[in-house]
Amino acid sequence: METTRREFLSAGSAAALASYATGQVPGGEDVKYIDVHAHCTEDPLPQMCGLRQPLCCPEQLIAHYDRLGIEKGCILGLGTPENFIGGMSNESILRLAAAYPDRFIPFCVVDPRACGNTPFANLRDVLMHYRDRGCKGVGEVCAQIHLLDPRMQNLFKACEEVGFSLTFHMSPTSGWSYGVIDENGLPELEICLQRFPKLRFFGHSCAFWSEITICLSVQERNARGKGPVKEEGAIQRLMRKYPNLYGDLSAGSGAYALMRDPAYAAKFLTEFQDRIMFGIDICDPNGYVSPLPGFLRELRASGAISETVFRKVARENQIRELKL
Amino acid sequence: MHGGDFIDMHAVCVRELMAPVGGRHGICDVDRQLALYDRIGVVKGVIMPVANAECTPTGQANEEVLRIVAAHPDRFAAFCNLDPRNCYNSPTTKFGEVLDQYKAQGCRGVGAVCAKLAITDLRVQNLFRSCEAAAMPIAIRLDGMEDFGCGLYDPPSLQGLRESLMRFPKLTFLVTGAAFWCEISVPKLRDERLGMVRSSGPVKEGLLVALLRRYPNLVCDLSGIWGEDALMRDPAYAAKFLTEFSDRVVFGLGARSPEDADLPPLPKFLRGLRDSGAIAPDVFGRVAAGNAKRIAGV
Repeated sequence: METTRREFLSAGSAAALASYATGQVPGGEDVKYIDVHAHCTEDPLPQMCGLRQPLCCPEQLIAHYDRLGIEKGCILGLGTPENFIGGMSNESILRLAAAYPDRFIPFCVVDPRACGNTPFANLRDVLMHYRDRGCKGVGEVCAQIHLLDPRMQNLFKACEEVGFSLTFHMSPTSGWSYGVIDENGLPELEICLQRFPKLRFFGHSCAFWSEITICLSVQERNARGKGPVKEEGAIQRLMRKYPNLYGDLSAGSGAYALMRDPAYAAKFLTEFQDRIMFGIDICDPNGYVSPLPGFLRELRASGAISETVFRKVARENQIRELKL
Repeated sequence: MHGGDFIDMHAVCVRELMAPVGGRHGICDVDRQLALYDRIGVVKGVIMPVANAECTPTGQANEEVLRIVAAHPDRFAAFCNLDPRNCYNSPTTKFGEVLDQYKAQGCRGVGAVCAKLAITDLRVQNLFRSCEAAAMPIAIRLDGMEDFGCGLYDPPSLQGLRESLMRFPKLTFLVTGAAFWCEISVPKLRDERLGMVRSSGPVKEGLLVALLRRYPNLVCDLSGIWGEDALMRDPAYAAKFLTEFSDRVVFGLGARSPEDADLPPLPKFLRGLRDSGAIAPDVFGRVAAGNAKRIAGV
């Protein structure tokens, strides 16, 4: 039985939240999602940090996709040493996409420290090489480096020149495990949005999505959102001011930024319907899976968001922005 | 059957060429690497994966190297590589469980660690501790630049290397890099340490030699232009050096570009030392291959 709009928007009930995780909606065939944020490796990585398998292999990711109603996903690189084991090549992502052309879309990642740890590295030529081989965007950039660091600025400039979007994972503070660094309120991101107006920034992670409301402490910045959005935060301010900021809804961070306040989520998605993108960021094949697929379908089913908004967020924005 | 005298203790090669930088690829793919080996008489290479952000346009998975080795078991063996910042950028990361898994898959050591971090950084020291516990040798590149380029930074006295050798006496350090090899003599120029100029001229015995005499866990990795220059700058001293430390020097090529027109000169130089009688055949044999067999078990 479908939840009514009023029930749904006022809820966040345990039963309702649990149902989102299945991602399944009665009625058979539905609009398929395009996942803007996926990871996958050709071979299983070693067990590490309590994870039996840190990232999916192709068949494991596709099994999740089939269960959740996801047509295809963008395979982002993890070329940043801080959040990986060993190294990862862009060539391996291109091989995965070539092996599963209907399911995977290749991204490339270039660490801002690549080619000599200098702000003068010619990253433009590197990015052009991967663009010409079929990569559709850059990410996930996770280096523990400030957004205004000259090496990061050099990467942004190269991405802008090549015409790539850039997906970043933000960290709540310096000295953290991984993620680009900005303060609460996102002052460095604002300067980057001004400085690189043609570079589309895809924001992701707790430290980014916590800024959907006013957020002060490191603890708040590193937590999945909880409770109603009483006061709008830096994300809305920046999205209204800068057309080159986009929201990547992947992982618990993106899902809970919406699920914390379903009524506000509907308003937010409707206002920024052209710049919010579905993503799921499945890592451990046996681990956490974001409840976002079911939640978005429930928002639509309850009438909280229109079919048009749902389709844009689910897939059409990805198709347009990544020229799929 | 592939003939040759040498085992390349420091091989770098990838399944597919990475993006070129400045119109030049930095690393050979497998076919080109094997063609080079056949031309210069290298029977086998120990591949060290590219895992540090600073060195190349993109990285290389340890699993990729294991695939290369599985496809060419008679020509390659594998090291695994971990960046000291891997697994959440902490000086307390437990690398042991990862190293045990790679060891079980056939990896013979760890490296080459080329991260732009100080060798005394706690994350680097943590990796050394893990390698010592796992009984896996580690290859490192030492660099004289603190914030630029790639390679672990150590100041001119090599104090960080000395402390590491002392702190981890059961860990075999295979060391190369400008900041290391220039210390075979007393560096004349600061730029020698930085790799901005190539070392040349007669050797006046330097710090590296003192470290070799004092710390039995130090092994010199001849890969890269720094190893070539350290020997070829003074052939007479090279013969003396190789003879005294015949158990502690390994032949290696390092990363080779497919666009390199010239063959690496070290094989010819070492054979010349042997053929002229400057070094004994058994010294040549240890440096060319015997030490690699012992250290990497290939």
